Amino acid sequence: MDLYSLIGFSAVAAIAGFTVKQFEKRIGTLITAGACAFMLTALIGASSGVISDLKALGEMGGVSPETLGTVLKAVGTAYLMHFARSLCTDLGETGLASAVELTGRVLLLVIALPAIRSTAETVIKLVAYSVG
Amino acid sequence: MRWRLRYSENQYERHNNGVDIIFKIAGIGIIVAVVCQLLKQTGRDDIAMLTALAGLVVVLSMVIGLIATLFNSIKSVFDIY
Repeated sequence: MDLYSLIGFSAVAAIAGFTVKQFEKRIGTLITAGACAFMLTALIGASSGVISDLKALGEMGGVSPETLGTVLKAVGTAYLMHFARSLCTDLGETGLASAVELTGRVLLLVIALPAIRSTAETVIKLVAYSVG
Repeated sequence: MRWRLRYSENQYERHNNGVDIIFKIAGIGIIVAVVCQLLKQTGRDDIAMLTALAGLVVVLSMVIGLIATLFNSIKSVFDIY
């Protein structure tokens, strides 16, 4: 979808959600949630070309596919967790939203841990080499 | 007739996006609200509650489809699990 369609879509969804919220609060919130999901899907569809370009660039620069895959996985997890968190906030469940946020951070740590570990191993090897 | 057919196909292609589902959900919400008000005015509160619940389930099943599309596209683009 192009830029103007997305702008019009967001305006229409906001007006529809606001209008329906006056009568049926839950259905109005679901309109907003569906609009969010559709918007993010459109963004993913637009940015998939960028991601394949990034992979090609990394191959040119000698970055290993595992490293790039880790970064992409972290970005995707952050994306999903942001969506879930904003959904919970929209529904008025701030406690659940903060739990989702914490879960997302821990999941990101789990994803990034192998990279941190390999960096630490490299540093330790370097230190051992320079000392010994 | 032929141009009309083609025009309608184009219309379908143009409107086969998220806007029509948003309008569908908004229409369901307004209809459910009206029916609920009518039922409440006539004193059938339990049926009004059931109607609101049914509308919510219908809308939820439509929104779930959108969210599933989002999840699948994220899964395929970012290689998550």
